[in-house]
This record gives sequence, structure tokens and C-alpha cells, in this order.
Amino acid sequence: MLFNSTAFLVFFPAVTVLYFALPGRWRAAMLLLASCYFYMAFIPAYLWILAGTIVVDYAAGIGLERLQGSPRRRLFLIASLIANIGVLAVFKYYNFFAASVGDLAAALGVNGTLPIPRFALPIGLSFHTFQAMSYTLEVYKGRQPAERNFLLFALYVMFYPQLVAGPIERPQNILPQLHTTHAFDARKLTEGLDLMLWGFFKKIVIADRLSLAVDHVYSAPGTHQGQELVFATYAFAIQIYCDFSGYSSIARGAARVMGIDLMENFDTPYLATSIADFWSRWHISLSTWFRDYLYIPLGGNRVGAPRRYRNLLVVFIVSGLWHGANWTYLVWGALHGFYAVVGTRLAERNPAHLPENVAKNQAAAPASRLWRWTRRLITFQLVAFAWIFFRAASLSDAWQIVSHLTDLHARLDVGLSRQDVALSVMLVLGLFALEAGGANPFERLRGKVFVRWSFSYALVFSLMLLGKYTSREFIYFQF
Amino acid sequence: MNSTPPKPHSLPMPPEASNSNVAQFCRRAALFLTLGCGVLNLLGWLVVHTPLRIMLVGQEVWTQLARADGAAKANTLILGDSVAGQLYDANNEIATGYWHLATNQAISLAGQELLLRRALVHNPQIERVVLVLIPSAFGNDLDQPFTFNYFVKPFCDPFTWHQLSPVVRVRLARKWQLWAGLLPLVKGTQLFSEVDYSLDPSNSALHEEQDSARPASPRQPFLSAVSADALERMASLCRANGIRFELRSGPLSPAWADFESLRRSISAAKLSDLFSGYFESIRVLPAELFSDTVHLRKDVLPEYRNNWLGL
Repeated sequence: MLFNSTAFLVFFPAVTVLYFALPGRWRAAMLLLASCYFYMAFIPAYLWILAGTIVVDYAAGIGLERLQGSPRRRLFLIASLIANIGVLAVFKYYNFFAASVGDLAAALGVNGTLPIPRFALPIGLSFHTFQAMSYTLEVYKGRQPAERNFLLFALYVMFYPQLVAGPIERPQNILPQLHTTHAFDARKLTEGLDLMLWGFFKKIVIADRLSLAVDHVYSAPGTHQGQELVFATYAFAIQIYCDFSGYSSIARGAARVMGIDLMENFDTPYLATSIADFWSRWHISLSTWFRDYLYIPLGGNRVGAPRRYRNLLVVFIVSGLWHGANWTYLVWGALHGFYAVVGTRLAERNPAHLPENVAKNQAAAPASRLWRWTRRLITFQLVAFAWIFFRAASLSDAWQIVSHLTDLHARLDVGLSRQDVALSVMLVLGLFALEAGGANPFERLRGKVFVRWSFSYALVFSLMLLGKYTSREFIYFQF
Repeated sequence: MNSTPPKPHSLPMPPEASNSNVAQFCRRAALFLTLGCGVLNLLGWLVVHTPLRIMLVGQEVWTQLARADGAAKANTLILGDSVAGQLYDANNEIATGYWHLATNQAISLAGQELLLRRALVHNPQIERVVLVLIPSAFGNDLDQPFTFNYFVKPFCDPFTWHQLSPVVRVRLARKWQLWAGLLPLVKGTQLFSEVDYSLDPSNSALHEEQDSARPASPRQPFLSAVSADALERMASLCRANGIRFELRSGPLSPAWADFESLRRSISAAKLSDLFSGYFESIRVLPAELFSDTVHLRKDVLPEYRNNWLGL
């Protein structure tokens, strides 16, 4: 079920009312049923895949706890990882692997192909498998007790607000909250609704509007000139931010309405002053996952420079592949890895370039404000350039775009009228102005009832007047 | 290797929600929603009454409606469909000296009639009205995909409901979501813009009752009951004001050149007098001049723009 669908307009209030109307002991069961219904709205049969991994991870968690100190303990962890990564390998990566082998065989003039089955990728597969894996890894490391209540464990993996596109939660944050019976809290409910409204605005008014231009240009990049490619690339940078952070806001809001706090996933990432800073603000739940479960086990910052750079590259390439089984994602990840290595090297040579020192300098000397904005601008350009590989349908399309970026002319055919282009630019400027003081503008309006209500009415009216209602999926659902 | 896991969580239970907490929230929510209804309807009203109307679906209809409420200098008024709008652009009146209020066939002839009535209120100087429609436009029976956005939203509201002809009122009374189209909030936003009256279940019953002349093929034009009624009312209005009323056709693609069924339904409705000169005005142009079998390509427009009617 899409958040931006009529069905969700009925589903959400019904589930919320039921949640508070039911006694505490029934709430988890009701939420789990609701989450199953939410998931089954996409492809019902895939619920069984999810159920299978939940059973394996639940059993693995208990096994890991029971076999403290036993060498067999590791087997439970391996079984859990194989189950989760196996599902990812079959549904997400096998076709890419088979197609690549076929391409390689053809290039070498060898006659050999692997069968390519036709099945749809389960919605949000990478999100819920990573969340499930974080549970077994935490239990294995002894930082989290095994969950004995199967219902609550299933709900931990399937909690509907974050089931299909995160945030990828840790058990330490969610499980205790699921154990608690949350009383009706008007403040949390209002904050949740405010967050949802802000998320819907970003998704339906800005992201879906910009997607018209992005799809128009990126579907046939060869027919467009430099200025259109540049416009569409910047538009995609804003679209993907509004799409994904909009989703995260709606998810966090829907959970908070029920008294459950999900982690922040975005913190004004386009105000980052370096690539490292960008990744501490963009898809925070994924970047911290890779930090904790991949970068640190590989050696983290404790190893020498060459290994550290290699580790950074590995993490970013894996992160690229996490997004999708395509060479474009791999290049996107590698490009960010390259940025990160160069950024780290520069920061090591001159500690003033470290994000925290940039912030200090800003406070100390007004002259450095210009330098800070320059860094922001450069970081945004680097990120926007990398998005070309993320959005392009193929590497050849991406190369077509990159090689024609400077081929500038006066025409601007981006599939939008001049009026729509002007409106889109104004909306994006408005978004940056509203988020400049924090990702959730409602937080600055606490205690100002008249202003907050007026702002809410303005957002609702914008949704009604300027929203694009062509039932567009969230970009990150495919991952 | 690993330390003993901590004990399961035993978090304190929060206090149960008190009834007064819930009641207070419900009171505030009711106030927020009630106030919101008023504010949002006011904003919707503002959109349709200001240049912001260009953001609405069917903005050309809203724009022409606003222009119809103003005073013009011309003595000849041109109404019509989008093909007429291509030829007699609202921004190009200086070139012809006529008043261009062509909109879209989706407003139906009932919409053309209401537009004419509004235009005449402040423009007693009008001596001649030319309605420019291609033959297929006469088949609009308020049963089209865009009827809700192009006719109900701009032309219907509770205060002027009585001004609609009985035929139109009967048609609309059975349509779904009609009530929504009467609200300023819906008129001034994209709410319900997906409503498609071609899918309305009441269509078939109405067609059986009132449109015996409807041909089997949708490619064959005919005169619908709504169009026949509106044409009579427009002709009558013009007669009462001493205005000459003429029907003309825009350029036609060969795909739509079979209009014998339209002739038959006009005869059946006994409106042949109104159509004198209409069929003679039809010119079929080569198919390659059209972008979508209905509208002329942009690059060939300059050849025909402003002088198609030869008035």
C-alpha cells in the first residue's frame, strides 16, 4: 500500500483508532495483522518470504542467546545471515549476475548463458532484511537480548510505517517501545500528524512534480541538450531527497502517532560541507548500518591509511549495490567511495577541513562563512553529479548525459511548461528556506498555535492545489 | 568471547490516557477541522477569482470565464472548441478585432450557453456571435472524461443552479460526486480531478431515454440532447437581444469527415435552420497537418490563424 494512496487515507486512521481503542495486550497482534495487510497490498505471496526469514531470525536469536560461549553459536549467526542474504541474492542479485555472465560470455565469444527467471522484486526487500540482520548481529555481539515474544519480533521486522523503505531500525530502539503500552498522548499524536503532513508535501507537491521533468529527460537523454540535462540532474537531486525524506517523515509521523519513535533518517543533507558530512545526514539509518556492521568489522579507523581507504571504497561500493543490481549503482557507489577517500585524505593533511572544524571556524570568523557555503556548493555539485549514474537507465545513458552536460543552448524542453518550471523553482527555494533551520519546520512552531495551524492549512491547500496525483511509487520502494 | 546479554527490558508503564485528555484533544481537533473547512474553502474561492486559476485543470475555461465577466470593445464574439481556440487565440484579439472566448469542447454546448450569457451581461454592443465547433463536439452529452473538471467545476454552483436548463439539471442530478464540484475548495484545487463522467453508471439509462439519435460508432458525430437544448436556448437568447447567431466549423481531419449522422440527428431535432451554412463551412484538410487527428500542428497554424472564418 502506498502512503500517497486513497487506501492509506482509510487504513491509517482505522489502524490508529483501533490501536488506542484496544487493550494493550491486543495491540501488537492488531498492528502485526495491519502490517501484513499493508505489505500484501503489493504482492501478497511475498509475505511468505518475509515470514520465512522472520522465523529463521527469531530462532537464531534464541539459539545465539542459549549457546553463550559455545563454538556452535556462530552457526546460528551464519544460518541467519545466509537466510537473509540468500533471499537478497535470489530475488535481487541473481538476474543481474546471470545477465552479466551472459554479457561476458558473449564478449568472449563463448556460448553459455544462465537462466533468467522472471519474478518481481519483493517490495522493500533490502530494508527489512537489513533490519532483521541488525537484530541477529546485535544478539550475537551481546548488545541485545533475544526476543522471546514471537509476535513482537515479527512486528519488529514488519512494523508497517517502516516496513518497505525504512528507517532501518536497531532492536535497541524499537523492541523496548513495542513492549510498552503507549497511552494516548495528544502531543505525540499532533507531532506525528505534522511530520506526516510535511512528508506528504515533500513527496506529492515537490518530488512528484519534479519527476515529470526528470522522467522526460532521462527517458531519452540523447534527444536533450546540456541545459536540459543539467536541469533534470538538479531536479533529480531534489526529487530523490523530497521523495525519500518525505517517505521517512511520513513513516516517522505514522509511528509517532502511536507513541513509537523511529530514528531520524535525514538531516538537511544538501547543507553538508563535505562528502563525509553528507553521509552523516543522508539515509542515516543505512549509513550507520554499514558503519557498524561493515566498516568497523573491516578495521574502521584503527588500521593504516591504505587499508582505511580500501575499506571506504568497499563500503561505498556495497552501498551502491545495496540500492540495486545494476552497474549504474555500482559506479554511483564507487564514485562516492572515491569522493570519501579524497575527502579523508584532504582532511588528514589539513584538519581544518574536518566537518566539526569547519563548523567551529564558522562560529569564530564571519569570513569563513563564505568558505563554508563554498564547501556546501562544491559538495552539492559532487553529489548531484553522482546522481546521474544513480538515475540513468544504463551506463551508456549516463555517459551520454555526462558527455553532453556542457553542450548548452537556449532551449529548455523538460516536459514542463514555463509556468511549471517557475513554480517548481519557487517551491524548491521555499523548501530550502523552510528547512534551513531544521528538517522539520513544525518543530520551530511549537507553542505558536495560530502560526502552526496556518502553516498546516497552507500545506494542506498546497497538496490540494499543486499536488501531482498520478499514484507514483516512492523511489526507494524498489530497493 | 561475548558477554552475557542484558536482561529483557522492563520499562515503566506510562499512565493511561485520561478521558479528559482525549476529550480535550477531540475538541481541539474539531475546532481545527471546522476552521480548516472555512479557510480552505476561502482559499479555493480565491484561486478561481485571481490569476492563480492558471494552476487549475482546464485553466483555459476558468480564464475565459473571468474574461467573459469583463467588458470588451468588439462587436463580434467568437465561442468554440479548442480547435477554434488554436485559430482565434485569446491573446491575439488585436489581429482580428473580434472577442475571442473559445475554450474547449469538453465544456459542452451547455457550457457555451452559460459563457455566452455571462459575456452578454456587460457587453450590450455584441451584434454577432459565431460558435465554432467541429462536428464531433455536438455529441457532448455531459458524459465525457473531462465533464466534471471542465463543466461542473467552472459552471455549476449552488447559487446559479436554477439558471441551468432543465435538461442539464436532469443530466447532472444523476451524476456521481456532483456535490463535490459545487464546493469552492474543490473548484479551486485538484481535488476530485480524476472524476470521469464517461464511466458514470447513469449514462446508459440517460442515453436510452433521451438520445435515440446516438449512432453506434463513437467516430460518427451526432447532436446530443444537451447540445440540441443549449443551441435552442442560445439562438433564443441572441434573437431576444437582436444578435446574429452563426454556427461554423473549424478545420477537420479526414478521420472525422463522415458527418452524415450529424445531419440526420439535426433533422430529427428539427434544428436544420440553425445549421444553415454550417456544413458548407466544413473544410477537410490533409491528415498530415494535424498533430492528433483533431488539432492542427503548431507549425501550420500561422497559415490559418485569424482568418479561418473569413468573417
